[in-house]
Amino acid sequence: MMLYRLVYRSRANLPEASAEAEVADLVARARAANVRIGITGALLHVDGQFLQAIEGPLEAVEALFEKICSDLRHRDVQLLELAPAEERLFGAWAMEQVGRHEDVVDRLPLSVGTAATSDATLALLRAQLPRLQRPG
Amino acid sequence: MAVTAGVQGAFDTLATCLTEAHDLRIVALAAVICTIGMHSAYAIGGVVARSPRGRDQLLWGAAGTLATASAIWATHFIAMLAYRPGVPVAFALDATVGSFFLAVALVGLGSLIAIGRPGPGGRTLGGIVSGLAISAMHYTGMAGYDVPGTLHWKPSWVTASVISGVFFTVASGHAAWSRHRLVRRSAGTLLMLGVCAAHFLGMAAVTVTPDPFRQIRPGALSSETLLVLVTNAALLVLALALVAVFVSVRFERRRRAEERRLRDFADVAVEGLLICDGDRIVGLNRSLEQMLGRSRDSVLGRSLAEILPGIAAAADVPVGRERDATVTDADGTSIPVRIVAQDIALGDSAHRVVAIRDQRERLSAEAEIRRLAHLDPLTGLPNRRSFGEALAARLGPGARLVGRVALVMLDLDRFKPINDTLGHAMGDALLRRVAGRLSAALREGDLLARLGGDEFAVLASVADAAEAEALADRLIEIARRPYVIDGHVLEIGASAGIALAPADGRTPDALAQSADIALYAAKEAGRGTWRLFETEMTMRRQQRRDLELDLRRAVARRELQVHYQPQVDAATGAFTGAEALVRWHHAERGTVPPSVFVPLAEEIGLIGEIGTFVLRRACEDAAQWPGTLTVAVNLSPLQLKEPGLVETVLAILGETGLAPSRLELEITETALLHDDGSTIATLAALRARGIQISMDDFGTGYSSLSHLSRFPFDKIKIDRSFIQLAPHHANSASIVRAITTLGRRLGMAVTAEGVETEAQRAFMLGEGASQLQGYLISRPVPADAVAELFRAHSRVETG
Ligand SMILES: Cc1cc2nc3c(=O)[nH]c(=O)nc-3n(C[C@H](O)[C@H](O)[C@H](O)COP(=O)(O)O)c2cc1C
Repeated sequence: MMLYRLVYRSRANLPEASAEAEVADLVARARAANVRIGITGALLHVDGQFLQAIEGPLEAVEALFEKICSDLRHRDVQLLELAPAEERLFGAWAMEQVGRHEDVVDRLPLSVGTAATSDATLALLRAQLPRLQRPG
Repeated sequence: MAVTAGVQGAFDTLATCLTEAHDLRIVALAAVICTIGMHSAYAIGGVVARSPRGRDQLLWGAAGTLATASAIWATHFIAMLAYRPGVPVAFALDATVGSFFLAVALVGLGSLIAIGRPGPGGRTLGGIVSGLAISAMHYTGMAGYDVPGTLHWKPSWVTASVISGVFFTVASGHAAWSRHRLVRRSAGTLLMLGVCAAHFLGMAAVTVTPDPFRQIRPGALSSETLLVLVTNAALLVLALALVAVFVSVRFERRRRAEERRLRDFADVAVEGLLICDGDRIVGLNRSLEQMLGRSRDSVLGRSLAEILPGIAAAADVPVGRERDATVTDADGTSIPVRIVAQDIALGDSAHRVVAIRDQRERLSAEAEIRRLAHLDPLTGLPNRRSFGEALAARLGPGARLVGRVALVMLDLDRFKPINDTLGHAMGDALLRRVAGRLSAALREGDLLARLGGDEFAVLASVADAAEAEALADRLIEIARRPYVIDGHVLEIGASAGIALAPADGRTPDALAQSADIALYAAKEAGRGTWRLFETEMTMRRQQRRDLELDLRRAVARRELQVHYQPQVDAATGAFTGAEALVRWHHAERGTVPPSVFVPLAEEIGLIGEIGTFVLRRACEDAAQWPGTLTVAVNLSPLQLKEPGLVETVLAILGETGLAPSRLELEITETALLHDDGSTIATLAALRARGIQISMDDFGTGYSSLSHLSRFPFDKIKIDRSFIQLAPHHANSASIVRAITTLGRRLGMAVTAEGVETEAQRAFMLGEGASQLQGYLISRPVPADAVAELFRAHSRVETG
């Protein structure tokens, strides 16, 4: 089965006070759900923005992305990349929330829609993965 | 005490009479004959009852009567032969034979009464007559009993004999018609008892006193002769009985087979069938067993009302006319059914058959059809029809308006190209996704429907306009998010129009119209957004409609005009040709600028017709111009996409006689956007015929070098906006310079449009423009004016 990777970004649509808790809850649920359908990836939530990469079989990626695009907890979803992938970049993480505000707020990729943005996003997500567990 | 003693005495007398006065072996023979005879009487009676009325029945009736009478007669005389009064006996012929015929007559009469008058009365009367036949036969026979002695009769015994004969016969008759099988079976035995009782009580009533002076009369039958007679009678009885039994068995077998056939027949019926005898259920078929989930045995014998609640009696089920009812199955569930009854004769009584048709499948099919009629099969959303019904329910007469009702009409943007290029299957999949997305953006109670194509609508209760706007916002935003389908990334948008009831419309139609107008306004505002209905929109819409109507009329009446703006050689100032410009002068509107009516014409599909009209007129006019002066005609991107453009152009050139080299077709960059190669091919075909092709309005829009490199344009026209800013505006000046340089490099002539001042002319000349056009040279002028201008000029030149 062909492996695909999808990268998008969006603006959070959550009340500021409870945003952190809601995202944590969302990620916990996502992790459990993703394990079942063979999805791995990472989610960054900072400054009212989401950056997410998901990877897995095309069908699962499509189905999940459709769910995510039906979710009112964020808006202005911009697809940065959908492409076949040689290997999983987030193989060890069903869905990992990465990045502390101060670590990434100045490094968010600015322009959108280009492969460069997607690459920058992936690099950022990867760099923020928990160090100890990062596979060699 | 006295009574008991009397009865006891009577029994003793009877016992003594039987045991001491009779030869018991012969008594037994009599009893056998009597039993066979009486049972065969009923066997034949059964055949009679089942036989169709007429000759058969009459014959069987006669046979039955004969058998019964002879059995009674034979029983009597065999018993008489068993009687040993201790003296020789003989039987007078007349009385012996007469008693037989008397028996035949009375039994026949009794049977006729019983059959002729159905019911207990007839049976009783028939029984009495037949019962009397026994006694009458007996005492007539006894009258011929000849002994050398005197017979003494005890009247009480005689009475008892007659009464018991009648009693048992009547009882037997009633038993024969009983409902109960066992009782019916006993009829023959009862009759036999009657015969025996009458006989032996009658014999106990008599005592013989020998009288030596009495002689047996001559001519009387001896015991031996009688025996032959009686034996023959008995044989007749036996033969008849055998025939009767045989026929009866065959009848029975046929009845059973018929019953089985009926049942098999009923069992293959799809409908449930119930057979009722009165209100009691006496039969049902397998379909009904299955429908009820009950076994045959658990239903048989129940009352009809237990199975068909609400139907009190079988008589309530209309014959030949269906009615609705419910049946209760084993779980107590009510099943809707339709029932109809039919009376049939089963055996000897009328039964009512109730046919029961299960309606569940039909009802659920109807419900499904109703559901389908209200659902859009593609998305599963309510369709236009049910949305209309919901809207009517909310706004219709009698509906109470609580708060406000918002109607949001939603159209997808850029859906058609996806459907066209990626196929309908992809379009359908996309619509399903959109339906899912929009559903996710609804609040509790909002109704989403697909009205058709890429049109959706939402009906929502809102407190105020802001709430409706927020809803529209969510709908548009969620629809615009990217879609990934089968590895394709699809991007579409959505526009929405909002109308609020009651302000923007009190009726469904009015509200829908307002929402439509608002949607139109949203599209005009660039799509991807929503508009709340405003009253002015209606006016603007109306104005546009009017304009559209006027334009159609003008085109149809050829009221559009073509004006020409001359072009000169930048270096020499000599006329090189003119650009044809379409003009619309309306009697009331005045001059309508092309910037207003050309986009409208493009939208309503009139641009092709207008374009062809202009082209023809320009060619006609230019053909009158002197020398090699050219005419430039604009082609809209839509025209370029029309098949057959090349043929049209060539045909017009042929008709007007204009040399192809004198026609210049101007296109804009927009025409090359999203070109799959067919536009370039069209241009190439035109250019191959010697027609010049130029790039119009260059510098605005995309200004893509790739467009210039894709096709060898003859000419580039620099947009007037740069010329007007140049030469003082540095940026514009450098753009102009870049374009002229580019033109030179690519070998394309460069025309400056909108030259209005001497300074601009000088600048353009300096930058190497080859051609000038603008107010400095001339405004656009009518055809005869430009023709006059050109002629005058050529006269000056040549003259
Ligand atoms: C930014 C963002 C990222 C999400 N990522 C995931 C994810 O990786 N996996 C997942 O199952 N759900 C994810 N969700 C939640 C889905 O949108 C959806 O709510 C969830 O799949 C539950 O859907 P269900 O109730 O239909 O199962 C995400 C939501 C948001 C807003």
